[in-house]
Amino acid sequence: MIDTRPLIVGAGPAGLRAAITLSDAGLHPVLVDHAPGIGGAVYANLRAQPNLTPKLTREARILRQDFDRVRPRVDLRLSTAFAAFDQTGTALLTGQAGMMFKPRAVIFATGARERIQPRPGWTLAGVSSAGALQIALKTTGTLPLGRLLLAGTGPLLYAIAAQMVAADRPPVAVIETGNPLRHPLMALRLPARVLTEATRYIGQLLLAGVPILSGTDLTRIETRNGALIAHTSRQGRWAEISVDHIGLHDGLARNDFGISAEMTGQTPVFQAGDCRSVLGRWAAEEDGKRAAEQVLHALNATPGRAAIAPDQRFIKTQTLLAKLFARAPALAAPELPDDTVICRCENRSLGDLKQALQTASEQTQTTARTLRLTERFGMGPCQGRQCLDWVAALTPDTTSFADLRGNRWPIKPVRVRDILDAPDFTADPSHQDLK
Amino acid sequence: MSVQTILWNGTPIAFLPGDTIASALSRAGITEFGLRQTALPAAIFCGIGQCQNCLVSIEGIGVAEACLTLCDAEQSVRSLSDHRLTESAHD
Repeated sequence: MIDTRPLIVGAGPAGLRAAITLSDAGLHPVLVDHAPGIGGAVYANLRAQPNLTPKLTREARILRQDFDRVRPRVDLRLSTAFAAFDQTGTALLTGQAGMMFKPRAVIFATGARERIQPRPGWTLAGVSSAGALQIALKTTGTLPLGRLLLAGTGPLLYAIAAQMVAADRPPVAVIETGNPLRHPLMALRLPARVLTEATRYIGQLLLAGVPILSGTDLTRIETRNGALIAHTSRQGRWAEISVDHIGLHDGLARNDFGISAEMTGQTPVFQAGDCRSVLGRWAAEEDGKRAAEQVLHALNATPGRAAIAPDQRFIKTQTLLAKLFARAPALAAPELPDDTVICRCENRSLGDLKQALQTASEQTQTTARTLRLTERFGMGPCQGRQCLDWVAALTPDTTSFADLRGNRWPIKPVRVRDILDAPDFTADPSHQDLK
Repeated sequence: MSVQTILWNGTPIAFLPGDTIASALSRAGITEFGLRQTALPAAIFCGIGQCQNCLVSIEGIGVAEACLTLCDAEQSVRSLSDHRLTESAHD
């Protein structure tokens, strides 16, 4: 008799598909997401208000229909964060529908995070991730007031730019460090559905007259007369663009902070979707189903399948996209001044990092531990999600990303009151019947 | 339908159904949500609850991400820098 409900963390495509699969097998999963609606980032329009009549893609529509079908069997807890898991198998959820319980299995489907290269001025108000602008657009149909600029690299920039065009708010320009449009023959090797989507986005941008400045760096941002001034550099040529909002995006990374399997004791734990491998929404849904089947297997509820590697097609697509968006060879390596903020939470600069390495090499050995404990890199409330990629890249001889990051609970800052308020169902017999 | 508002540092700000505190403030032209303890601006950055750059103090909830929290009518929302200046150390 299964007496404790499985937990799925994250209600994006992987988490939703996992919940659907577990429900279809007769289980009653707990699905938790700290956002106020389902869909994750990629299908954030699933949580838009009905009056917006959001244009859903076919995949998003099917996903919602399937989820609506199993909805009565899923304990969906929105505006609620997964905070921690302890060695006794107790999971702590905090927020609107917080609780403590002992899931028999856990699927982490926490998606991806945007990588954003530190640049002078990236801490100014009005400078955000490109994804933040996209989520505002998808969930409310609106964007912040004023002129918008997108900069960085990667396919997501063009999707967002095209969605801005469709919302009658075309960006002033898209600034791209790669030269993705220079390799049409390579692009033709992309799977048809990826190529179709990309062609549509580029077409929309060209029709709307949005300049795509490829092989160009956004080197720094400053404020002047209430506007943001973006300084760009392209093979020795410089320009300034005056805007009100800048969306930065330098690719995606797994959002796997704090969710490693070795921290969860005896409970079977699986990762699904972009938090396992950043392969996009189609792969994420398949992977959510796969993780759910592994849970079923682990719980002996039905025959499942063993761990399998993600579909090679998705990996090939990502490899090809990475080549297409490779940094333009003619572009100089970015030279950051020493006062560039690296750790946003603790306001630690590149100069601080250099000085720490210098002082340490004279006195004692620098380690991930000293960079954290004495220099505070990665010790702020974001737990290093914004800076540790770059600290590791800047100190290749000293430490690694894995060492810097470590693994610890809680997965994000938690209000003490939320812990006290979370009902404790770890020993309540009335919950024994839930499976 | 009458316009619903939140109170941002005491000033009414209109919001639409589905608005987070961050999206309502952005639409009102407010991009800086006060200062962080480092004196860098508090503002929307990642938009998905990871960076903790948009923390504000919300009536009935406490300190939370403006990008994840839906607006509630007449709810008082304050910047943390404003809060630190006006609140006593203990409540």
